[in-house]
Amino acid sequence: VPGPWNRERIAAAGILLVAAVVLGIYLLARGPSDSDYFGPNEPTWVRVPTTLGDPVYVGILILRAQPGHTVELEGLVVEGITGDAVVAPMVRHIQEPASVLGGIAESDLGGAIDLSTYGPLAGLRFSPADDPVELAVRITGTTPVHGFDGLRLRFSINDGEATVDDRIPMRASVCTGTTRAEAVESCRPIEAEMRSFGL
Amino acid sequence: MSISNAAAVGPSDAVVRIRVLDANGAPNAGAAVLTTVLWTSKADFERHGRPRSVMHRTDASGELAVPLRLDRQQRAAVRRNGDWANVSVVVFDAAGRPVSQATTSRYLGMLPDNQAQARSMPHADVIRLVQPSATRGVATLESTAQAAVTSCTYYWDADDYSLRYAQVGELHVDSDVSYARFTYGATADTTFDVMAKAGTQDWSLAGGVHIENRLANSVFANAGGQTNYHWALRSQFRFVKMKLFKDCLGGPYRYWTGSQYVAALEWTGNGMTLSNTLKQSSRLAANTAPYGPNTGWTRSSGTLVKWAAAVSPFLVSLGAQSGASSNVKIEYEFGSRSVHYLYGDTGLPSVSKRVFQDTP
Repeated sequence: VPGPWNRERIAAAGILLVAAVVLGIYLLARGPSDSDYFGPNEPTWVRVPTTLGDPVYVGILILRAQPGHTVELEGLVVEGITGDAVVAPMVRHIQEPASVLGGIAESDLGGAIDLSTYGPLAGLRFSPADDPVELAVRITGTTPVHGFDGLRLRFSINDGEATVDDRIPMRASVCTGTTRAEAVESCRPIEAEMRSFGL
Repeated sequence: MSISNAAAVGPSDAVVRIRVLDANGAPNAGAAVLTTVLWTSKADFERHGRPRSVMHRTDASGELAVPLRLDRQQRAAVRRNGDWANVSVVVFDAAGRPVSQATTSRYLGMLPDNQAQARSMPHADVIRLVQPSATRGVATLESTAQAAVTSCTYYWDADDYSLRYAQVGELHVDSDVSYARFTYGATADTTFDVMAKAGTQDWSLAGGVHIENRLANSVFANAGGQTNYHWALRSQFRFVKMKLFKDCLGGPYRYWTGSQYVAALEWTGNGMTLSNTLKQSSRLAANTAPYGPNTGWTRSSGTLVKWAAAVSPFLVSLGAQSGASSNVKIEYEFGSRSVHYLYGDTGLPSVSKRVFQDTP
């Protein structure tokens, strides 16, 4: 066929179209890129015994945006849930000096940290000019041992310029019982596992 | 390429990039450079003799890319050191005298933790060395140098060994801690300074070597049930003093050029703690995390922390840094008090270089 739309050109355009579709599907499917934006994070493991119905709070990270970036938190993906753990992320801006959460049951917190200052993670935006952001989780559950094996913090930079996953190699195990002594006993197998962790 | 899977003879395992500049920072073309893959144990010296060296010359831009092609014995030595190759580089002046040297490590394995650690080694990227400029009579001096370097064989050899305890970690306990432990090994994980000197010059830092050989047992400091415990964990290493010799056509033979360096060679084990030698730094609220009664906390590797003058073999002080791999671990199990603090000096305990404990 003479003219601009001969058979070869139509075939080439078709190949380009298929390649563009494949590339688009790949880009959509690959998801956020891995990063060490808030790292480096070291492998840690915390265990907390608590009585049934007493939630546990575990501190995860202090977050600071890098120069020139506005960070928007999108979500926290919890990996390797154990037992019936329900893990709820919580964040707040901290004005130094301020204590942050470690691994502690609500009944042991006393008045040291005001839990009402924490809010939901999704949608929190911050830049280098803002106060640092504390990321923590609230863990509830009823099984003798529950918790998680790792976390992925998903966030975007500069209004979606990049979407990033930061893997946080942190494990948390909450042990429960009707009394604290019973909860401590529930933790015994975890205690042994932690002593051989990493080596 | 992992050396564990590599053939005895084949492509290079890594490339060491070298740049030689003159005193004004200009590229030094044609400079003679000696590279040596160092042995990783005293047994290597006893079995195989001195480490093998190769002489090279920089190109027109003063640069050199040396592929590390390990023979079977070198490959075995590197494998015993956890796939870390320790490499010495020496630059000679226009008269054929060694004037500048550096020591570094290249990680040839596949472990991501170690690959990251390798990027923070001294001279991790390009080894930059200075060769003083020749002034008058350059052509004559350079031809003298050519003659000196080509008619002589230069080599490092062990002059002396020394067993010394070096700091590899620390453990801090205030009170109400039922179990606290800092564990090192059973595979070593420490980068030591290398100090070098030529002639009557003072000892100066020439780089570092990484020690990662494996022993049957780990070493640890255990502070369960103790109070006000702030101990350094020290363990024994073998150090070597190396001297640069030359054999020349018609003599002299085994003539010491005046260059030497002191470096760690291998971990020999045995733990020893020193009583309350360390001080706990003051606690910043922002770096502090509270832990409730009977809680436990473990970190299985750490950001590198450097201890200055961690060991002094041959009267030369060497710093050391440990803790990047999972071969180093710190653990706390708390007692029945309602709150126990863990805090770091550079951030929260999960990311800090050092970890301290305080019970209010």
